[in-house]
Amino acid sequence: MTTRESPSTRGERPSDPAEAITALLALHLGPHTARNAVRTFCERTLAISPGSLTWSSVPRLVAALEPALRTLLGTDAAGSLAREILAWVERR
Amino acid sequence: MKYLLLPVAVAAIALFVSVLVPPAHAFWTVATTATAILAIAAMIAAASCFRANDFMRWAWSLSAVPYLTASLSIVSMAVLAPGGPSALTLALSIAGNLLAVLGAALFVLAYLRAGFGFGGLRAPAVVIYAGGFTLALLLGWPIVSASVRGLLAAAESLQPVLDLLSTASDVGCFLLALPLLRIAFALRGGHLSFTWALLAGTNLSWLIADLAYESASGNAAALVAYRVIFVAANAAGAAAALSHRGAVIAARRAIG
Repeated sequence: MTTRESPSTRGERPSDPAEAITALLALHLGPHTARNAVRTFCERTLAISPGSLTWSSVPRLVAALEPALRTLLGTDAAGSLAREILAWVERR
Repeated sequence: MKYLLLPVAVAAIALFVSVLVPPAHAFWTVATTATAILAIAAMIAAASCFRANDFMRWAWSLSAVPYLTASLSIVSMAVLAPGGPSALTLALSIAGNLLAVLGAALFVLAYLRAGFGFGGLRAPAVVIYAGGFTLALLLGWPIVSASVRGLLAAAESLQPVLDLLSTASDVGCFLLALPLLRIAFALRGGHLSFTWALLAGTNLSWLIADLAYESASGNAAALVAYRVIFVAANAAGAAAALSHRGAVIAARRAIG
């Protein structure tokens, strides 16, 4: 497994929120499932396409994603990931 | 990638030892038990990464039980009932085989429960499932039919019952390895992919090991293959648990 830094630790911040979340989740879920996850939860929770996601809608998306991440990564790791995504939103 | 090295290294060492010095039966009893204990320890370590109400804590805790019952069965057969399986061995085997299938099913269920989906076309997946199902039937049928014949011929012995039960469970694990592989492929490029890939490898191995064992009568190479596959599958189970633990720890550090 190649060690890869998260986009946030490299200081890169994609301007598109869907891309930013996908990049962060991809470290753990892989790019394919990360993209699927963002698309599925954007459509299911916000009834929008990932391209229409705004920074202000990110907390609602994260709240919906966290229980799903909890299933695979556990409560603590899912919480850390959710906090990292929200910290991105605040730092931008 | 480092987690994949564990089962490969165990298989290589087992094969090397078999070729260099054909080891006694006792060596394999120790090797099988040692790798099963390694798997139990790794799965307990993985389960301890999660909170009590986390789905994965239950999945790893239940997955450790078949390795425990298998080790106890080996000890039971070696020490308590060297002449053949006892009622205790049968009870352990029933519990172990059922939980092996349940454990594999929980890892498939976890991904489905997360609701991330697979994306892509359904047709290739249907073809792979159909092919895998056919392969499971082709591999499992000779062993199941031999077990049924043994059951009819020796009504007093528990061994054919154990064989039939074990094969049915191994066919179940083989079939569940197909969705596990699909999940590993969906997670490719992410830390979690190794966990599901290694779990798929473990679950594919049991039926192949059974087949090697069935061909082992008078065939030394098949017996070596059976034993090597068995210890490597135990090591793959351990590696799957360790890789999941590693992925969870990496995710926890996400925020730094």
